[in-house]
Amino acid sequence: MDTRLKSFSRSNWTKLASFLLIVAMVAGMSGIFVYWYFSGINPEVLLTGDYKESEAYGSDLRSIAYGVARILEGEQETVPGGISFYGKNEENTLSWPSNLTEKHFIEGEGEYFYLEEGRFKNSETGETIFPYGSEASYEKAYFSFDDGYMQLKQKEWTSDREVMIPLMVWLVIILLGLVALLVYQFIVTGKKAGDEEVHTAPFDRIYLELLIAGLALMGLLWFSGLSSLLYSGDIGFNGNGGMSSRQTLGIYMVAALTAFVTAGVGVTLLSVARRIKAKKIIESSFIFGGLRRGVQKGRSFMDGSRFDRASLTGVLHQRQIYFVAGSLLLVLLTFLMLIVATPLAIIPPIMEGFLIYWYFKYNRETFDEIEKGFNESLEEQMKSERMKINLVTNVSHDLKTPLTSIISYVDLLSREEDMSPLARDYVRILSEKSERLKNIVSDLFDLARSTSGDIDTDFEDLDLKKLVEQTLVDMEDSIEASGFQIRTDLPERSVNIHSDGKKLYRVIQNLIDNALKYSLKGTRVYVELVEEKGKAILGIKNTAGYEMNFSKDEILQRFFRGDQSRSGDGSGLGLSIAESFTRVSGGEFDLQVDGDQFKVIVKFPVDR
Amino acid sequence: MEKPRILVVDDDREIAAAIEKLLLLEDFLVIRAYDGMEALDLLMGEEIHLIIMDVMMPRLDGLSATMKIREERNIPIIVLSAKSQDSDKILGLSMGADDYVTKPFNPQELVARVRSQLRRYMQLGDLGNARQESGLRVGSLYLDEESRELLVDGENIRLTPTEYGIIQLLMRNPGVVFSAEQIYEKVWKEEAYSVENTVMVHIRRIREKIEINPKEPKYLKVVWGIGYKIEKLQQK
Repeated sequence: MDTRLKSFSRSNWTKLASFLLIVAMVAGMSGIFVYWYFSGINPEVLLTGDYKESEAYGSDLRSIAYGVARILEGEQETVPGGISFYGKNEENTLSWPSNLTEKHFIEGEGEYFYLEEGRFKNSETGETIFPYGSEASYEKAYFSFDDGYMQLKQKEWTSDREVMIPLMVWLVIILLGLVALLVYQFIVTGKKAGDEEVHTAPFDRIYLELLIAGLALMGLLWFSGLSSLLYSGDIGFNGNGGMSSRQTLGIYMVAALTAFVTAGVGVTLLSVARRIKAKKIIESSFIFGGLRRGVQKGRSFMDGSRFDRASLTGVLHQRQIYFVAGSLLLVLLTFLMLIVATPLAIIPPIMEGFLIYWYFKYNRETFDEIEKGFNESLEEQMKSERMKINLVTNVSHDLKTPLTSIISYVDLLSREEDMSPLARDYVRILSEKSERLKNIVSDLFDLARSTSGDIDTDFEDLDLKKLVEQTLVDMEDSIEASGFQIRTDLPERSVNIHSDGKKLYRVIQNLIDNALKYSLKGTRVYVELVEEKGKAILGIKNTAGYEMNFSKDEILQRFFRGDQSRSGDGSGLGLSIAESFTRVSGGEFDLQVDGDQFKVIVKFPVDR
Repeated sequence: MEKPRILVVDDDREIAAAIEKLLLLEDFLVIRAYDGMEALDLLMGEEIHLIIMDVMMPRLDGLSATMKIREERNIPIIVLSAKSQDSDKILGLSMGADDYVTKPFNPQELVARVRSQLRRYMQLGDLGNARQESGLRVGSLYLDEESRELLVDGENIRLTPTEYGIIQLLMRNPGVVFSAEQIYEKVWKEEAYSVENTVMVHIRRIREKIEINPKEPKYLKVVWGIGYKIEKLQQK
């Protein structure tokens, strides 16, 4: 029941119908008022049915008394219609009609008015109705209304009353209905059948000040419309006792104008009502809400909440801009104040003080946050680095242990005597491959450790030239076995660098191995060392035995092999290890591919 | 002579078994243990001439066990480990190990190292400490300057006069690094000029004669980019 009532009372159609009804009612009321205005009827007819009881009669009486007084004093000659009067002083008597005597009034049955102590008084009540004036020259004066005149007045009064009473009854009915509908409208506005929330319309976001201005504008429109439509010259019924067509048009025009204005005002007031209900009336005001938002915005510039989505350094940067711009503005303001109103010039510096305080305060907070984030990421990085190293160590152990068994048992197997030649061949292959696997695992972990930085380094002052010579002699066997010749171009004097000799030995060994492995038959490998601009530059150059259709980056990738076939006995990590070891030993590693020429360049700063 | 008794300690039973078989083929007696505690217990009751000790083991790890054994005994200990960094090796040796072999190891090399350690221990033994030596000793190397003989684990090594000169110079100054020029001037007694290759070639030859694994020399070391030295080993 309740829900059904709500769904009816809160439906948009009901609201619209009631709103239109309100507009119609107000328009109707305006029409009634205009009708009354044009009729020129004294509203007093509503209060009393007896003309003599009315205030209008009192007012008529006073103006008649004034007229009589003026006639008696000789200041006015025309006699107002519907009265008789008599006046006497020492010199003459004056009366209307001219043959009237004092007796007409005193002995007559009707009410009359007489002069006593300078005042006109009512013969029946003795009340003063008009002060004649102390300068009165007449000793005696009387006047009264003609019976016919009074009857006419009463008749007019009654007929006016007959017009006005139904109008007023309608007015009251409309008014009561209007109040009821208005209460209904203000209760249901913003509510929907489904819930008890207050729903605001898009219109409700318009600033309150604009609404007020709109109301004022509509009020102005209404008043100006009224003042041009309600021409006072039109007052009065026409000869038939009704309204002229001009007056009727006026009534409709006013009603239409009122309907229009009422609709506008109604919509506006309902919006205000919704705002109040939704407790948004302050926010919707430009001055209060806007001011509050402005303050919040200004604050957000400083404390950084405005830049929540920006990076912390972005916040710093932006705040800096606002600080500088704000300060500049205040400086300008100071000058302006100095010119315009000198004592007020103290205000901008004080504001600047606050600005500086805020600037430092919130900057400090941002810095703290940056530091926190920095430390966190550093810790995170260290943690992941530690985990990587642990992983390498653990995997290393887990790979090496089974490999140890494999190698050991293959060795034991190879000692078995009663094996077929085929089985012996298989064991040989197993032995070779397990040896290669051992090398790969070893290289892999050297590489992993050197790239993760978890590798022992032993820096000494050493001679790179000597190191190259030692390495070449150390590798004599494999160089001879490869059949390639090494051409060296080394400087006369020593090339002193600060590095890790053991790592560098591995670097050069790997590079020479690489050159021997992939060179074209019959070509030579060139090893040259020069000192240039404070750098020791070691170049190892060879002619590739295959087409080098790969990029510099590709070749340094782990396990990349130039010839693409994965046979051979290398781990494929030689160059990567050489690169990584060069870096941990404090050098630079670069390689160049020019046609079939492959060149690796290792640079170290020369010790002086 | 009694067969040498070797204690193999490794928590990986297959590796322990493989080492046992390997050593049995070489005519050694082998006892197995699977952790450091067990090794210490066995050592109390059995006569052991050499220990092969894994590092990462449950209950008591190899390095701690080595330290405990060293407090009382002087038997040779070869440490086996998957850790191959120099710092790991140095740590192992400073804990009292006589040799450090990284996994995966070459079986023949392990056997050679076992033989080397045993020869030294059996020859000199605990008693050997009493014998006076007139020559130079570095680990298993012994240079008798009177007879101009180099003994490695008691075995006579044939050297050329130049090689002898080099090894004598280095063994007289263990741990000291000599450059090729210094070695040349002292051994050849000539002014050195572009002698790196010459000296390095001799060094290689000596290494091949005295080292079990010339690629990973224990005694004669190349200090890359600087020179050469004989490692100064702890005297036991």
